[in-house]
Amino acid sequence: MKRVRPDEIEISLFGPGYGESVVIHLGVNQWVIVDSCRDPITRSIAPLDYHARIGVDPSVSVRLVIATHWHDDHVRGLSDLVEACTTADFVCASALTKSEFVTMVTRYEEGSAKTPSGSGVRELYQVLRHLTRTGRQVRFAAPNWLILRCPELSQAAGWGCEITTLSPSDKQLEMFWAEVGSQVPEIGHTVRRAVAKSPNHLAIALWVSWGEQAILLGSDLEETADTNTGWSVIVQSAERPQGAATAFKIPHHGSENGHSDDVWDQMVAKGAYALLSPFTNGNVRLPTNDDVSRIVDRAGKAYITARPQSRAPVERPAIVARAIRAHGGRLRLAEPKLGHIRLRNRHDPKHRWYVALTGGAYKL
Amino acid sequence: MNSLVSINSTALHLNSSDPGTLNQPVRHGWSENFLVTASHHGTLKQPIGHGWSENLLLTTSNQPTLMQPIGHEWSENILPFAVADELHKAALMRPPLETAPSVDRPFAETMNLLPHQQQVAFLPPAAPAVDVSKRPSFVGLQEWEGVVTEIRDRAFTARLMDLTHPNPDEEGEFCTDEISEDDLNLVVPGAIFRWSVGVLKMPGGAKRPTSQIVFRRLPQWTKRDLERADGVAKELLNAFGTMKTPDSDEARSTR
Repeated sequence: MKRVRPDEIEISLFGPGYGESVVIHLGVNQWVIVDSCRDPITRSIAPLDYHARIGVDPSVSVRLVIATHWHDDHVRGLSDLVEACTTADFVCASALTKSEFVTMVTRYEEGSAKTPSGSGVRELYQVLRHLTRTGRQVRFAAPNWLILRCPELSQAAGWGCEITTLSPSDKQLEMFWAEVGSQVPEIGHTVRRAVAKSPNHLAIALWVSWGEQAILLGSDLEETADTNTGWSVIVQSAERPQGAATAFKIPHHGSENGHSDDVWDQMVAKGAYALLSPFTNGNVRLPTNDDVSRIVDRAGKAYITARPQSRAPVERPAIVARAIRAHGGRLRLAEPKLGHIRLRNRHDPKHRWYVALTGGAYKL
Repeated sequence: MNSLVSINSTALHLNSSDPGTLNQPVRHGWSENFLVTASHHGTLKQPIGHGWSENLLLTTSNQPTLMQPIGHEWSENILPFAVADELHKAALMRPPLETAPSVDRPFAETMNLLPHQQQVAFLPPAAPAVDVSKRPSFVGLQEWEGVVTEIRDRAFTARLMDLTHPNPDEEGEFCTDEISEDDLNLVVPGAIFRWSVGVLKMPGGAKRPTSQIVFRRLPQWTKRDLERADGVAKELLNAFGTMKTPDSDEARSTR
């Protein structure tokens, strides 16, 4: 796979159908990784696997690992990722290191029997343990909070870079506490796995800028009727970074509840590139056909990492297949094949992105 | 002997519930667990394990008969006869039935018994094992661990991890009609189960495809569990308290 040039910026989106991860090259071999996912076939951690293939050493080149929220589909492999990126600061919502959440996560992990299938809570617990054991820097996301400035890139690559978190808002934090309160294991309750609920109150949206060039990463942030939450509070903020993003990681797998006309009108450039990953879980499949139509209408070009319908069953010996049929079970792959959308840009004035699609990724 | 040693090593926690019944332990782990329920009259009543691969499934009837495990011919199974034999030996060491913990005997007192007393206190009377060779036997072909992700009317969806081969995770839809009455209340989002498919070998040699879904019976969080967890949480929080955060001067200088 072609290595990135020092004067190129890159945004890569990995998505197997359940989970996603964004890898950003800031310039001069400086990288940021947002969330984590695994290849469903190899179970390797997609961003680390990618770095290995293009000759990047994550232990020295990754500046930040950002966990946008704690849902299972965004944290798979996160603890291994954080450990591999030994010099990176860890970024999360402050709520994830506060008493209520740490107590909840610890109660789940210390109190329950272990299972092979793991869980997002376990990933976060392992991350918290690693961070406290190693004393690594933790940075907290908040509205319009500058979490990284790289002026040194100006001399080496010709531009500086800044990363700003746009959420979660105070109101979203309040709502998150309510959710945590209902999930904390109590005496006498039957042991179970934590099940994160929507909406994604803590989702961290990110603005990454290189001079006038910017991208917007929507995480799983949802729009709500409450103007103190979701995208409304971001768009209305006078303090938010100004400009129009030329690439937009579509929030919440393209679902309607992640859509905001105001975001497209005020924060995204006309003709911008849209990137998204699908979500499949039970009968929920995102994006829907309506979602795709809406995104294609708004974006200049839109790409998705995988085809959510593409989930053939695993091939098994005839006798096993017969037994499954006898049971009446219907099986399919939990996730489609991992896909990768890569946009690279040499910071030219026309902000043209060069697109490469691999795995199951395709143009909408 | 291994099986009994294992039973002891898992330290059965027996809670006394309604009169006459010593109810339910345990840690419910897949592999090393034994769930044994002693009921009145000193007999071992039903448990479970539900035929998990390495698990003991002990069933006794009202008769002082050890009705043998099951195991369903899982590959790593503890042999039923070995189990019966060990239990038989243990039963020979066992004090008279009336000395076993009674309903009136406080749980704490029960737990204060010497180890060998604990070992035998809940064992069934010695009895010959039933000949299992005449029973249908289950030969497992494929196993998954499932986590319930969604529940609808009389159906649920689960994410499945293949425990037999290194396949990618799968998703399956199941009808709750296939779940035993005892397990129905366990079908909630986040619940964990094991699904085994295989063939049932009949005594006459016929084979019939079959499958079994058994939900993992998880224990309840106890005060001790949560206190221990909270102690760990406190350590983590103390460590976070000493970390540099964006509120610290150094972090603020990056803004």
